[in-house]
Formats: sequence, structure tokens, C-alpha cells
Amino acid sequence: MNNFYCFIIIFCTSFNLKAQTIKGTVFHENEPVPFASVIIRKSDNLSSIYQFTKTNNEGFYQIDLKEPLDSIWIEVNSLAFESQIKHLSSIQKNKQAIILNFNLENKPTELEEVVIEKEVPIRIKNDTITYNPESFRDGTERVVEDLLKKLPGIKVEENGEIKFKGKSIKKFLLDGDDLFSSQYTTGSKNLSVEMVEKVQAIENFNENPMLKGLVNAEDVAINIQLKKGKTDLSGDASLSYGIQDRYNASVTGLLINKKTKGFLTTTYNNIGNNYSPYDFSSEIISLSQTNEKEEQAKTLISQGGFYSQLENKYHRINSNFNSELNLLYKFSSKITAKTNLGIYDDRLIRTNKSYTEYSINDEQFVINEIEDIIKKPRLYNANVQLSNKVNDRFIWEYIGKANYQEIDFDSNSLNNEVVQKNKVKTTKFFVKQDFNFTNRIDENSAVTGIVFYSNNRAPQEFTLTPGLNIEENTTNEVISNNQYSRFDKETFKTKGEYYRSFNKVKLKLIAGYLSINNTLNSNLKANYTDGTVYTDRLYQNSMNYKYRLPNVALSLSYIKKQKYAFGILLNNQYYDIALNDEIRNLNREEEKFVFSPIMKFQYVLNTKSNLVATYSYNEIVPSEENLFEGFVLTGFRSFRNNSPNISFLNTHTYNLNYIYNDVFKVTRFSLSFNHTNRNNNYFSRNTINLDNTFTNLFLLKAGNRDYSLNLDFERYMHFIRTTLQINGSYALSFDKNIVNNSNLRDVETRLLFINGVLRTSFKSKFYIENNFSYSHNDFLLDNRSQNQFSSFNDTFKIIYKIGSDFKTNVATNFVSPDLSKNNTYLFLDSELRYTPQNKRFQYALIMRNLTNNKKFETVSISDYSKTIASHNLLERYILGSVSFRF
Amino acid sequence: MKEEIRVMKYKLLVLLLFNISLCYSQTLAIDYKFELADDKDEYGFSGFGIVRLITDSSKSISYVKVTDTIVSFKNIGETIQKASEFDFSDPAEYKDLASNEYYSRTIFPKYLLKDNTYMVAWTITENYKEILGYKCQQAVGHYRGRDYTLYFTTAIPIQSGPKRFDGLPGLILEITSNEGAIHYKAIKIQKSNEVIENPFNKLNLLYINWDQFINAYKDYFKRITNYVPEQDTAIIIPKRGVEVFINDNNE
Repeated sequence: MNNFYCFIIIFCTSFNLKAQTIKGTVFHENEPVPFASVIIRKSDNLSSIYQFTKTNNEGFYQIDLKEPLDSIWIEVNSLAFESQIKHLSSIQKNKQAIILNFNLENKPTELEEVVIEKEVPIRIKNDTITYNPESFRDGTERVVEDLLKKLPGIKVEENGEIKFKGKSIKKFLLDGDDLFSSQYTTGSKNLSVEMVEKVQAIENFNENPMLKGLVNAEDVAINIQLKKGKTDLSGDASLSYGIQDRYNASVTGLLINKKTKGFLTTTYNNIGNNYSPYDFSSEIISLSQTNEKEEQAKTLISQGGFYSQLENKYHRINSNFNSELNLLYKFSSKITAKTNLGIYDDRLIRTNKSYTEYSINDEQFVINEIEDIIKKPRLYNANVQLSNKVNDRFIWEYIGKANYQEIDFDSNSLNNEVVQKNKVKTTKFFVKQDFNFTNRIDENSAVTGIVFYSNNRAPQEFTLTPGLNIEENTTNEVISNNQYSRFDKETFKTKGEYYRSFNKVKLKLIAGYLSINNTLNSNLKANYTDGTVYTDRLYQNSMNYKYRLPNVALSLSYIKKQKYAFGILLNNQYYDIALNDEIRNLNREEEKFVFSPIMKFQYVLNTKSNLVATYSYNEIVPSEENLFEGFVLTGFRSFRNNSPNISFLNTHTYNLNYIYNDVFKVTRFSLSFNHTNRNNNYFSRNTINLDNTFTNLFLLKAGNRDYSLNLDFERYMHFIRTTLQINGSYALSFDKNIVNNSNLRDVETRLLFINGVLRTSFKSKFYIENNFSYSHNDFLLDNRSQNQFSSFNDTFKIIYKIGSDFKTNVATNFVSPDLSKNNTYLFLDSELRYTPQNKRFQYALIMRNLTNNKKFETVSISDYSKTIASHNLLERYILGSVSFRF
Repeated sequence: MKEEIRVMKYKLLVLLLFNISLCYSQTLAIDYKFELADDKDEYGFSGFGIVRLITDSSKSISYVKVTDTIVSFKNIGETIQKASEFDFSDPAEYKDLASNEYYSRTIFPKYLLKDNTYMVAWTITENYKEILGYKCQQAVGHYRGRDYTLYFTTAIPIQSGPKRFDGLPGLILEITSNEGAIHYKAIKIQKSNEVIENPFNKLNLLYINWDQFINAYKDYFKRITNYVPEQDTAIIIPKRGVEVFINDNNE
């Protein structure tokens, strides 16, 4: 006992006579605890720390209270043990120091390796921007495309094309592998967002990694990093069914292991969705069409107008089955094989009405058209790709593709008072073979070669009942017309490229040969009631248009990092063109040497902004659809032909672009000015009367030019979690045309377009997005305003999180197609989603077009006409949906 | 009696020695993101990166890595910093929390800093904020030329923090100077197995204290300011770091 008190005296320090002193030792299982925190709190303010200290190396603490207190709370914290709080009540003043010891206990559970890391929404490292999906999601995203639309800097077009910082992505990778090739919308529109760990947007991307260092990598790509699961196979299935027999069913499976990557998707829907890379609604150029534009044969006969100002989900009345398999297999570290197989089957229905007022050369008349359309496309696609990386310096690749399409088009049309039936059958068959190799000779040079062959034919048969009379001076009644039209296109291409890099200068030498062979066979017949058939060579084509094009090009680029860059491409082409018209016995030939330079200059103003100026001059050969002379019946009231001329089209293109990019603040601003000047061009001669429209394209050495100013602004404000995007453009176009035997008229078009999006991704109960668009069109004829109109639309979407499992969203879409009229539309969509805790199932109630807009009427103008057109919409429906993830 | 006390003392001493060798303290590694941007005048400075504080209840050690930065300031001009990784053989600073001593290198190659006068009597306020899932309490005070607002959490009862900020009843997770130039914020906390010891003792260099350092820096500043290598050229060195070395009246 005595010794114990002695022990205390040894370590005693002075104490205050007025206010109390509290001291003691903190123990754990009889061992002192050094450097433990001792906190004093006043009884009337328990949350506030009044005084504090820590135990010394011997576990001893002492606190001299700043003022005399009646009662206090003392808390002892040590990282290794459970905290302890003791209450000292009725402390008497002027007492000797109060001794208060603590005996701490073990923490009930060991601290697991806890790593608390604040996940930043965007991480930027060199050329890659990594997005953390959790920071941008609002919970309604189902597929990767829905998530990509929310990421700042990334834009997804209506056809599914993904752009990063304004440039189209070259590759859509899954964990670094290119599974989908160019048809990446299969992945972006079907891969579940739950599989995504991170999204990486890569700049300065090299499509051919073996050419690294020899080319200025300016491409962009997206890499989706997948969540590492416990099993190789994962996927989801969803089924939705609603009133009016609406279905939306999908099954997707993803297989990932060391050797294989596979993605299978099968969908069926009749609510207007398109999960494939194809698009048969004429006006939208699908991703697959963009990639093979040059090699595809043209089709002249119309298969329905499906254009709409509204989004597809409101107007596309479909019944779409789509199934695609993408498989990548690594035989070894060198050999990879890839295959993409797809089946697409659809039925599109639409009723188009149009009322057009023409005012041409003091003549005024009205044309009234109604068309009820059923379009049934069927498509089968197979791609095979084999690549062999023989060694570190040599890789070769083979791509083979076959694509077969059949489109059945049926419609009932009313042309003023004439009722007709239209039937078009189109069959397209496309084959492509591509072999290419890359040989990296040494660090500074490489050689690539490519041999390419494609063949495409697109025969069309059009039957119009009752028919149009094409014979002059006859009173015979025409039961029907048969228009047959078939374009064939054969492309053969071979090219060798030599790359060489000298320090800052990069050189590329190209030698190539291109051979294109187009043929068009068409004829139009009129079948009379008495059984006879009439045709005339005026309505026939047997055209062969081919050209051979050897070319040699030199490209030089010089980059002074952070200062400026200069690039020039000098392309020398020798054209050997032949156009044969067997019906009219006309043969035209032309041989010409064409020199086309392209120059690009980039100046870095500072670390955030730069200026780019480009100039190019090109002479291009006419397109095969502008060279046939015989008339082709392209619709129930339209004929088309040309006045062929195989002169080259000279075009000068100028572009000046200011780009500001603040990578840390995620702000992007771009202002660009474009000017295109064509010395000669094709102009149209339209002859329009009550019954028919004749369109003839002819070449004129008159100028045609356009100017445009484009603005693009995007900023992500992290403190309010808001992304703001604004883009606008003003375009001026000076053109010419001839209508109904007028003189050559000067037509000027002015188009102003503004679009703004505001999106907040606040992790609170609400998520809000607003998107508005305004456009103003002006047509001037001979400098006098002929027609003008403006339209406006605004989409407002709000998502509210009811509980931890429930989310509801409401979206309103306000459209005013013609601001001068009171005709406005309000669309209302709503969704209720329930995701129970285990996240395997999800239930949803989807309501679309609640205000039940049945048809949509819009206005379109040209310099000589004004059209009020309307088409029908998907009527209101309610869907119940169940989704399951495995 | 006296003999008994003596024996008791020895027994206690043995016990104490035994205690010291046992390690009660758990070691944590905390990563703080720092953004330093003093652009008040041309004598400011900037720095961006991550400091890793490895600490237990009695001592701390830290390592610094900087990020690739090019920043353009109005007064201090353009500053360029190339990214570096953590160099675990070259710690930035060491602190002995028991005796409140701070050790680090200085700009003078022959001298090391041993600073024991940095303690600040922070005032704990009633404001709270959540950082990394911890409820943190606010403390304010003035430290060598700047007013600061700090946030600490008693849930981690280690009385330490980055740089010379410590002495609060919990780990400091955020430091902001009121004029905005200094900002440290914890972004990651994890357990660590590192054994912390003073890395500077073995360097065999001389230690100077804070007052000695300030005097030496003022001399250095005067020398450099008067040195004109070419006509119209001047070399500017900062008057301030996290601490203010030379105030605006050049003292």
C-alpha cells in the first residue's frame, strides 16, 4: 500500500489549488497504454471537447481543469482497444488531485484490412480518362450506352455512334480486347451496366499498335473495364409485357475467361427500340452503313419515308427480332480468331400524310399525299476475322464478311385523288474480303500492305398498281407498272504504305491501286388492260461506269511538342474512267491526272488551348447515281434521271478550329469555322405537276459554297455535380436549282441551331436533366426571303429515389414543331423501378406517351414549297417488366 | 522502508522496460491529397501531390509524391511539376509525438531541422463535418503566419496529422488555410506494417531549430534578391511555404 502511494508521488506534478486536477493511468490487462487520447467533456455540452491530453510512455495522464467544474465526462481512446467513458459527478473543489484509472478492453472484433478510399469520379492519367460509373449514374441506366450518355466528354448520337471530345471512337474495347470490331453498338446497346467497373476514354490512340511512334496517334477509343466476377459466365434476361400486346424481351450472355471473350444477345421488341447496329428507317445512317459506305451499291427505289423530329421510341412502330453473337478466341498468344454472326428481322409500320403548297414561278398548287407503309427487312450477317502476330515485328490479319438482306415493302398510297398500291422487293448481297499485314522493320520504319475485294448487288423490283402512263398519246389504261432496278458494285483495292520516322518528322509513302466497277440495269414497263406491255428506252438503263485509279501519295508531319504541328499530304491520282450507256449507245471516256493536297497546321497557344487550320483540295469522280440517263420510277409519283457528265467535281475545303480543353476542370470549348467551295457541282432540275415529280440532276460549272460556324461547350462542375453542354451552329449555304422550267435560281439557306443540356448527378434524392433545342430555318430566293420557320423542343426528366429500393422517374417532352403556330405536343413518360436488396431481380413499371399523342404534325420548307406533314405515333402503353441477372 | 522502496523502484523499472518493448500501438497509413497555391504576390509557391503519413500513437513519418502539373498563376507565373513516385528511401519528415519534435531536411544541404516550437493551442469549435465516413470536429487556430481551419476525428485517437499539424485529440483529416493557399485532405486510410524510426539521426548532419532556420533563410533571401545574373533578370525565391518565412515587411 505504502509503496503504491510512493509510486504516485514519484510521478506527481504540481496541481492547481483552485481548479481540480485529474490524473491517472490507463491500463490494458495490467499493462499501461501509452499515447492514448484522454478527452474531457462538460456535462452540459457533451458533444464538445473541453480539454484533452494524451497518456505518456508510461500510460500516465494528468489534466488541470481550466475552471472549477461540478461534473465531467472523461473519455479514453486508443486505437488498439475499446474506448471507455467515465463520469465524475459532484467533484469537490480544493480536493487533492482526483485519481482516475482506466482499464481498457479488447475491441470485440479485429479491424479487418479496411481501406477507405474516396473514389474520385474522374481520374486523369496521361492519355486516359477513367470515369467511375457510380458517380454519374442516376439508377435508370440499363445498358452501357445509357451510362456513356451521362459521362462528360462523351456523346452518343441517335444511331449509337460514340464520340469522345468530338471525335468518333475507332475502337470499343472490352478489357482491352476488340470483340465487336466496327459494329460496337451491339455491345453498347446490350451490355448491362452492372458489369461495368470503370469506363476509360483513351486519346492519342493508335489503331495499329505496331505503328507506335511512327504515326501521330490522334484517334480516340473507349475501353470498358468489366467487374471481375466469380464465374466466367454472366448475363441477364428481361421480359416486359404490356397493354396493347407490347413486348420487350431480351437475353444477353457474357463469357470471359483467359482464352475466350463472347457476347450473345437476343432481343425482341415492339416498342420502338433498336439494339442492333443496323437501321432501316431510311433517314438514319446506321453505324454499319457508315463503315461500308464506299463499297455499298446504291438503291434508287424508295422504301418509305421514316423521318421524324421525335426520338425513335415515340414513332418507330416495329416488331423487331435481333440476335447477335460476338466471339473472340485466342488460340495462342499469337493467333486470335473472331467471329460476329447476326440475324435481324423487323416489321415497320407507318402512315405518312403530307399536304404541300407549291409556289413556283407565279404558279400555285397543292399536292396531297397519304401513304400507309409496311416495311419488312430481314438481314443475315457473318464476319470472320483471323489475326496472327507471327513475331514482335510482323502481324497479318484476314477479315471476311458476308451480308444478305431482303426487304419487303408494301404500301397503299393516295396521290391527290389517285389510289395506288406499291410493292417493292429489295435483295442485297454483300461480300467482302480483306487481307492486311504490318511489318515493323525497325524502330524507325514500318511497312503495311492491304488487299481488299468487295462485291455488292442490290436488285429491286417495284410494282405499282394501278400504274402510270408512260406512253405518249395513248388512251390505254395501265393496270400496273413494273420497275426493275439493279446496281452492282465491285471494288478491288490494294495499297502499300511505308512509314519512316526521323526525330521530329514523320514520313509516309503510299502506293495504291483502286478499281471500281458499277453497273446499273433498269427498265420500266407499263402493263395495259388488254395484256400488252409497253416500254421505251427512255425508261431503260444499261449502264457501266468503271474507273481505275493508281495513286502515289506522300505525307509529311512535323511536331514540335507543346508548340506547333504541321502536316501535309500530297496525293497524286491518275484516273482512267469509262462510262458506257448501252441503251443509248453512248461511250464516254476520260483520263486525268489529279493532284490533291491536304494541309494541316496546329498551333499550341498554351497548355489548354490550340488552334487548328486545315485546307484541302480534291477532285472527285461523280457518283454512279448521278450518271444514269434513263428514267427510273422511284415512288408512286416520282421519276429520276440525270444528264450524265463525267467531269470531276472540284472542291476546296477550309477549316479553322479553336479548341480549349481544361483537363483538370473538365471544361471543353471548341469554336470552328468551315467553308467549302465547289467550282462545279450537280444541281437539280425539278419538274413538279399535280400527278408527278421529275427530278433530273445535271452538272454545271457554277459555284456552290457554304459557310458554317459551330460552337461546342461542355463543363462538368463537380461541386454541384452538374454537367452543362451547349452546342450551336449557324450555317449558310449558297446553292442553285431549276424548278419547272425556270431559269437558274440562286437559293440561299440559313440555318441556326442551338442545343443545351443540363444534367445533375447529385447523390441526393433527386436527379434532374433538361435538354432543349431551338432551330430557325430561312430560305431565300434571289435574295428575298421565301420561307422561314422556327421550332423548339424541350425534354425535362426528373428521377426521384423513394426508398432504398424504389426509384421513379418522370420525363416530359415538349415539342413545338412550328413556333408560328399553336400546334404543340407534350409527351409524358414515367417509370417505376423496384430493385430488391440482392440486386438479382429488378421489377419495373414503364408508361410511355401517357398524354396519348396519336400523330405528330410538322412543317418543312424549301425555297419553293411548304409542306405540312404528319405521321402516326406509338400509342400510349403501360409495360410491366421483370429482369433477372445471373 | 527505504530499502523496500528501492527494491520496488527496480521492480517497476523492469516492468516499465518490459512494457516499452511490447507494441500496443497500431500503425496506420493515411494518404492526403495536397493542393498548395500561394499566389498572393510573386514570392508565393505551389505544389500538388499526395503525402503519405504513416503514424502510430507515438511517432509519425511521411513520404511525398507530386503529380504532373502545369499551372499558370497570375503572380507567380507558370509552374511546372513533373510527377514523381513515393521514394521510400527518402522520407520527407519525422515526428516524435511524445516530445512534439519535428524533423526534416532543409534547403541548406548541411543542416537538418529539429523543430520543437511548432505546437499550437488549437481552439476546438462546435462544427462538424464528415470526411471518409468519419465524423470530424473542427478546430481553428493560427500557425506561423496563416489562420487555419482543421478537422480531426476522435474515432482515430492518434494525435497526429500531416506536416506540423497535430496536438488534437484525434487524427487530423483536413487542413485548410483561411485564405485558401493551403489544403490537405485525407483520401485513403489503411493499416500499415511499417516500423517507424527517425531516418535523419543516421545522416550525421547538424540539427538547427526553427529560429536558426528562419535567420539563415532571411540571409539567403537577401543574398539571392541582390544577385542579378544579367541585366533585367532577377531570381525570385519564395518568402513563404506552409509557414511564412519572411512576412510582407521583410522581417
